[in-house]
Amino acid sequence: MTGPRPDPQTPDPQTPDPETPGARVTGAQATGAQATGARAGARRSVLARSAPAVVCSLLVLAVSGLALLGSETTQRTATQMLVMGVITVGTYIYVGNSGVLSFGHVVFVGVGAYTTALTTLPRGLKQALLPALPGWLAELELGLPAALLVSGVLSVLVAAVFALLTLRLDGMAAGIASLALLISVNVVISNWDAVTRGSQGIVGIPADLTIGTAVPWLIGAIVVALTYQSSRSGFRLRASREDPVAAAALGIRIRRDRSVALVISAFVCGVGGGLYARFLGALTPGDVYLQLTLLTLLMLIVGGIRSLSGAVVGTIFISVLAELLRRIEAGGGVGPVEISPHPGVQQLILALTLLLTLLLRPGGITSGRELGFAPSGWLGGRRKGPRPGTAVDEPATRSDAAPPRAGRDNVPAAKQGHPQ
Amino acid sequence: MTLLEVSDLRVSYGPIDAVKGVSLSVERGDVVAIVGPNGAGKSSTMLAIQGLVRARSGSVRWRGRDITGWAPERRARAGISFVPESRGVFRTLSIGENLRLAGCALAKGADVAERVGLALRHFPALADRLSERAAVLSGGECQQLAIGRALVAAPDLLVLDEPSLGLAPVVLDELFAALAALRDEGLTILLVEQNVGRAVKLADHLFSLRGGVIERVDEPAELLRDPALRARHLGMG
Amino acid sequence: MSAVAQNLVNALSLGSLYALIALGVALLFSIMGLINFAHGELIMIGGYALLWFAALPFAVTAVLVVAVVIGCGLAMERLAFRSVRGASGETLLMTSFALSLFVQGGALLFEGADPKSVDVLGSLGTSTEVAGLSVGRLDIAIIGVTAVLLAGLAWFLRATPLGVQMRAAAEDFRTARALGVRANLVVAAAFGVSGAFAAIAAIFLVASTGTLTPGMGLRPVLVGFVAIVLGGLGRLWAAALGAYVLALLTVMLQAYLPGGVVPYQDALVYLGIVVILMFRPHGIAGRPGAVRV
Repeated sequence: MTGPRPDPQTPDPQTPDPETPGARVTGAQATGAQATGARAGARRSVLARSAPAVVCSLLVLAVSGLALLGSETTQRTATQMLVMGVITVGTYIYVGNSGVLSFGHVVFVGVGAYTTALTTLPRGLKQALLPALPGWLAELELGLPAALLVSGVLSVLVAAVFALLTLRLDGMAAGIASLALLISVNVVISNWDAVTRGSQGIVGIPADLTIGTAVPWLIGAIVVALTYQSSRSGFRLRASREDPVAAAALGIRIRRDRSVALVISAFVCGVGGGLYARFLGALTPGDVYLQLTLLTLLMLIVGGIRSLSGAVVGTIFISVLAELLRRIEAGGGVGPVEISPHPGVQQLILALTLLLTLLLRPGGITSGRELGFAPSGWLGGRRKGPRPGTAVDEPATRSDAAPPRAGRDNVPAAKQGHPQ
Repeated sequence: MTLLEVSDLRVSYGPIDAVKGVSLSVERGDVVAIVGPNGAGKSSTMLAIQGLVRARSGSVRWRGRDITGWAPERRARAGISFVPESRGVFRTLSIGENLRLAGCALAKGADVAERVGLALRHFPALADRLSERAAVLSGGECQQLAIGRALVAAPDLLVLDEPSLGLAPVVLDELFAALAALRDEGLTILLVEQNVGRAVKLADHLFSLRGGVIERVDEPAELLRDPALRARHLGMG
Repeated sequence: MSAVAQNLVNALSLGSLYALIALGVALLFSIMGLINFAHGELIMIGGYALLWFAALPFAVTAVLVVAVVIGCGLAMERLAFRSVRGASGETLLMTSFALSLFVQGGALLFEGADPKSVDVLGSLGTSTEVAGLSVGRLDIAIIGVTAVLLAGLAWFLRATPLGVQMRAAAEDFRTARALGVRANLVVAAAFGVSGAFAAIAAIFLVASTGTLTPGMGLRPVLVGFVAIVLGGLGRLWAAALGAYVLALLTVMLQAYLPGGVVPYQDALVYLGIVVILMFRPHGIAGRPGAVRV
């Protein structure tokens, strides 16, 4: 999604100037020149570029390490956090870079989850649970990495259909179309008894995922995301996110770059879905539906939808918050997960968190910046320059003859707002 | 008496500064015109005066009160009537509804029908067509409706954004005749206009706006004759 | 013959319910570009409000339910949507999504996750003979009340100054404001009307299903979205038409689809939406940049 409101941001290491596409392109050339220039400079550039991935990975490792010291419940929560991290980072690759809102990424997670469930379920149990399964699938029993790979690939195939149907759409139409797809797929999953066991769900999936086995996948996802983000395609896509008109004028073919992002995004989400199935052990259609969609969007938006660091920070923040809420609900006991006297509290507070973020800090915790090393990055960096409260978030191509379209906060009565 | 006073107004769209410190004042009974080329910041200035874009800095004062932070509807109720660029006629509303709509800027209990009647005196052609959809109107008729609608609000100041845009010369004659009639009735008018000749004939005071910077034109008539002056103010030979 | 007529009556009744929901959603969309997920939660609140006031005479209950839901709609506007008014459509969509889940969370907390049952308009549970067809009294009530409400809305939008202001705001909010139309008033009025429609839809919905759950608003609001997409985004009366078309499709699919496919009916409907959007991003009757309402 695009910036909810004019949110002037400081340049991040990848985008020299988020406001002017022209400047951004110059930045790209500059980066290229830098790489061919002095070796020291090139090294610094590579370091600066990969800094977000390194810092995010270190952050993930630190939190995971801390959790290893905790109780079994804490470790389980941390494992869930890592799985959610893969899903969130996967969603970010498309939503964050393209700025197109998607309610549909949970479809890829669902495809991945069911694929991994079906390919790693012990043979005997599978034949008992799903007697109508085709022979070859009933016989199939893969190891975790292979199953996850297959999950990712299948998700990519589904993404191809998805792309065919929705890539033309923007804004709300994209949001509604992706939601409609999510619902359609959920209806199919809920009723395809022969393969998914419908609403009864699949049980007995080896729930053997631990912090140790999950961490590498999340770090892998972070590296993939950053690699895409730093690639030419990712660069063009983010240019189009900031200003579609100018990007198109510069010859950026948005749809092709969106397809690339969607494919990579779907693969990572599919892998995340596979991990999710192995985390849960039992999979029902409700597990890969609206609640998970909320959780993913919550993590992305609260963390900051415009940066990879935002996805990671949001995942950690929301996971910790959700765990705290779960304990409050459960009256502080350690007991089994998800059983609480007040089932609404968690959803209430999480939804409120999302709401307050949208209303008060639409850029999320990171406000579009990446974590990096001081002084260029966020850790040591300050906001550069004062927040120009009067700047309006309009395409830079506006001229006097084409005054800005209605809406936004570019009205003196900004607090009262003003619909378009 | 000074009705409108704009001081050091700045308007930006992202990193682009459209208006770079415009100051001007409009006295009661004045007709003030701002001329200038495309992209000079004329419309942005008008929109900021009406409250439709936010000023980055500077102030807009109305009858001595600072209204820089006011919502557009509040300004309309205070007596500033706006005729937007490209008319802003509501195509899905009937002509009569368009006119009566502006009545919401009047004080409670005001007789909207009477105000509509007064406005129609200036544009009698519209009077027989009140129940027709505004979508059927031609460009010139739309402009009549937009100005008539602004008059319904009993304005102290009529603000027009590029009224001549896209109109045929014959229609322009009618339009400026109507504006001249309003001027002669004592209505205060602020307009931006690309058509320098028309603006010079109508206005008491002329400003030129180029690259977001405003300058007073002391001898408006000279502007028409002197190419050098024209180049300076309007950027054309 | 009579089977077809029976299906048509069912479709008309279902379509009336859908139209009430769709108009509530379409009104807000046309005026402020908001796709309001939380509209479903207004319906849900209306449902529970029926339970709270169940002991009172039905007329009193109905008035209280409408008042409560309008109040909640206005509160949503004031507390959440006013701060993001004029933001991008996606932000509005996300805000309403968050709000919807927030209210659902509240319902879970205070009313519990288990379905509750409530008997509303039980006296209308019987059928009556109309032109040789057996028609439920409830169906007649839904069709009649909806017709009155649609006519009332049409009158309100045509004949009252506020209605004209709302139509102007739907076409071009900015210019309307420049002419003195009060943004807060118009938006509040839209939320009020939308809330009233949600409350009445809730009464009829609960009268026909009899059950309440915190998640009961999701299906109706999706139906509303589908209807406005079918009709054309932002076009009020097209949305109502879309609702009737959707109801007709649903009833006919249910009646004539082969048994094995019936469970997938919803999937087909939503897939249809995506396909429609793919070819007509602004809805069947919508045109890019078209004037609205």
